[in-house]
Amino acid sequence: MKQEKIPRYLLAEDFEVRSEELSMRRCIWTVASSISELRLETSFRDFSESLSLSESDVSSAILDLLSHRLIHENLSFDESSPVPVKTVRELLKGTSSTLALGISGDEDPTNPIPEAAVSPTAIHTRLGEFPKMKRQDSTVVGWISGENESTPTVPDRSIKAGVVKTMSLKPSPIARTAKLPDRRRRTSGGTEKKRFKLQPIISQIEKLSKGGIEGSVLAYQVFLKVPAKLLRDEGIESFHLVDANTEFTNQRLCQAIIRATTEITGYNLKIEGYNKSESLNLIESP
Amino acid sequence: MSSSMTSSEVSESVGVFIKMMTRCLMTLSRVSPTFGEPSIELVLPKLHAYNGFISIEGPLNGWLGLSFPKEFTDDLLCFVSEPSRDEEIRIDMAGEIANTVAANSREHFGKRLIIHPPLATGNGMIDPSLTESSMFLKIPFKWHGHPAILLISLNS
Repeated sequence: MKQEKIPRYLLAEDFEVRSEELSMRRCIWTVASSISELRLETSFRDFSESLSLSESDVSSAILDLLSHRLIHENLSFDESSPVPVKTVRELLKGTSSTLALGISGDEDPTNPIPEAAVSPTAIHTRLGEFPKMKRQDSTVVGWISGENESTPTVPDRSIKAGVVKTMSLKPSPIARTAKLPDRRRRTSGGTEKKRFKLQPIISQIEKLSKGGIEGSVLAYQVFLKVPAKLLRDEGIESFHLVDANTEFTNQRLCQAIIRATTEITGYNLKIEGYNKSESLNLIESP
Repeated sequence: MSSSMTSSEVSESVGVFIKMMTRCLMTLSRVSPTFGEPSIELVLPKLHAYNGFISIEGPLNGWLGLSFPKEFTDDLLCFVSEPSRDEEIRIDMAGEIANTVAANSREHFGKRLIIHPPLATGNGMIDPSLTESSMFLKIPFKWHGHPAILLISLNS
């Protein structure tokens, strides 16, 4: 059975600067730390196995890294490659469900990886990788915290083609020196940024309703009005409405949440530490 | 029909669908679902194998998804005394729950909301005719020890 080869990627020259402000899932950093060390003809499966990650996690991580311009394809390598190496995008386009998701291939060339095309969900969908389920564990322990929610597994049928060859992945310089930046604490200038917690914000919003599910739906309505990009830029892809530990630093996100709350509820939300004038400066600056 | 809903009306309307689902499970089994911690998801969460989707139009636009694992649908089939256990019958069961919720909600809302006939899928797939919102409200729940998901996707 043929296996699809993973393209060669290089870390962006300004990787550290770009990644400094990002908060992404651990597996994305794992992929980042190893991807530049890939050999020619490394298959998705081999690479995923070497990192103890699923193929869909690796695909998703690569697209996340591409979307943040933390990696780019090593094109010079491709040209000399005796094996036709497809880009992730080509791999994704090769699946029948791509068009159904509106990925037409007519994307803006100035934005090579449109946001919608790089979300992990989009990858799953395009690869036809919606999950089969593990047998469910019916124990109740951890249920309220969501820890015991069943985790659907992704079937092992994503990108298959090619011959599997053994692969030894050397640890990358990043992995060896553990120099991945502390993405959450510092600005590029080294000064500490204000951190805002989502929980008190959500609590304020929920209190405007009768509580319970209605409170959650109200919070959902508010966040629907917040540009998703602002949340994604903070590495937020999901957050709980009860006991959310999520934090962020972007004043523009504060401003967007305040504006959305006012629009939906008429309430003037208070966010501790939010400085409106600082936020305005951010928006006015180029 | 064209007038939009206030935020509290939207919350109440979604609450109606959730009540209808609770009532449906209670009627079938006398076991009520236990709701877990809701979350907002910026990408479509992984769904369980069998899904029923209820599309809504009018002052409230979007869809609700009910996502069940195999064991959940098998237990439901037990309660309705259905002996078969195959893919098709499980998809039908997921669709039947969605259909019951949709029918009762239709009765509740009358002409205020257009509630389309539900769509059912297997293999953890979302129905391709549904448009994805920029965010989803995911409400996990358990019934009879089985986890399930109530997913809400509203257009902003």
